[in-house]
Amino acid sequence: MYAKMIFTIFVGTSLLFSLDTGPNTVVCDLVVMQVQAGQNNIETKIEFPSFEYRINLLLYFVFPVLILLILLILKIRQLDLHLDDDSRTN
Amino acid sequence: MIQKYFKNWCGERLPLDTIRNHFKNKFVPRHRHTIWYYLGGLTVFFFVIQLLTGVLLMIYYKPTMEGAHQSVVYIINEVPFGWLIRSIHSWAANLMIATLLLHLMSVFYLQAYRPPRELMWMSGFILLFLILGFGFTGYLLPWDDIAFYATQIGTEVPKSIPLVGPTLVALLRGGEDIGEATITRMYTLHVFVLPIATLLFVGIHLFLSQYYGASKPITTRPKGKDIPFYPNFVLRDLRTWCIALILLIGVAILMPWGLGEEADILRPAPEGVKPEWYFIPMYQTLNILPARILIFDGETILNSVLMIGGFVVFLLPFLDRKAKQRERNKFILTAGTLVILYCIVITVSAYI
Repeated sequence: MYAKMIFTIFVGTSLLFSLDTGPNTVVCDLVVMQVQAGQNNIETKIEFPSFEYRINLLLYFVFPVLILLILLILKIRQLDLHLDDDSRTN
Repeated sequence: MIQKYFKNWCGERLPLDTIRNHFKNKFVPRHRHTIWYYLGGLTVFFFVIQLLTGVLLMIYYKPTMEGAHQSVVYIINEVPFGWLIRSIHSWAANLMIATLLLHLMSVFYLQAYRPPRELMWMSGFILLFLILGFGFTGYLLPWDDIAFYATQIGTEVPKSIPLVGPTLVALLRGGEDIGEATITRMYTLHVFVLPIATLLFVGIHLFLSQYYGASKPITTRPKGKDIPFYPNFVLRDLRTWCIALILLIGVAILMPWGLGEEADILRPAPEGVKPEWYFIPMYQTLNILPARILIFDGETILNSVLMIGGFVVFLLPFLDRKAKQRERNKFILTAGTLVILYCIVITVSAYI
């Protein structure tokens, strides 16, 4: 079961990567905040990646976890069907 | 072949069969409140995330007045995925405290602290303080304006404790004012002292929870048969962690944790400085309370009430005699509900 899970996640993630719309194709351009660095008056701004980049990143991270979640739910349902036979009574 | 050899090798050296038998014979009660059993595991999950992301942040963070803010800017701008790691660390910290408070509330309402689980309640209560300590010490580390003034207010609070107050403030700050020594102290507490203490108490808490198992509520009727801990409940826990991970990564990516202006000791405090949401009830109560009540100082009264209240909650399993006899204690439940409602209302009012 666990080998099947890992295999599905691996294939799923590989498929997603093969779409080639990944973060590396998007330029980080969003400046969220501009910060004046105190006494030295050195300009230091923090920059977060663009929204488009972040949406892509979200897909990359969430997709494998989502597959794992679906597999877990299926396994739990399967185990629950046998619960009455295996479990002790109260 | 290799797998079998490895299994046998480990089996000869470790009590794997004993552990396997323990988990096989462990069951989790099934009733309409079973959902609350996931909160403890969820808190541990967020804690592990904090440890992992915290170690990554430590590689680049500099705990000095000159370097703190700039190193955080560097982590966000230059370190690959640094903004994401920091964002996950900050969001997970808040979610960890939220799940911990909900876990504490569920244990309180299900009266799961009753004998023989007194030590579980007490170790859990100590863990709450340690986790709040993480929040307090970590807040100053980015060395931005809001964190600086919020810590100034926060470290001011123990001042009114009779006898030990001023010494306690000096110990926390490393001097009269917040500065280089404060960052070093907060950093040491945040990355060394608190993690060791927390790991110790998490270990005790988990050992006790495995030893006693999940508590059955007093009045709730069972709903079907008990759930075997392994693999049924473990898989359910994993499912909850997956959902939590998706939510955490979602908020961390879509709403990255920001950073304010670098703290300047000479600049006046900006408007709207507030501590983190979990310290708001204490902070707001302090604002509402008059400076003097009769002959006593307002802050001293609040500190005394908090200390006595904390002590009462810590000893709750011994004070609630009805719970020992498996009866609902209406007085304690009502008092607890009133305190929770007060905290919610005062927190919400601070943000409106």
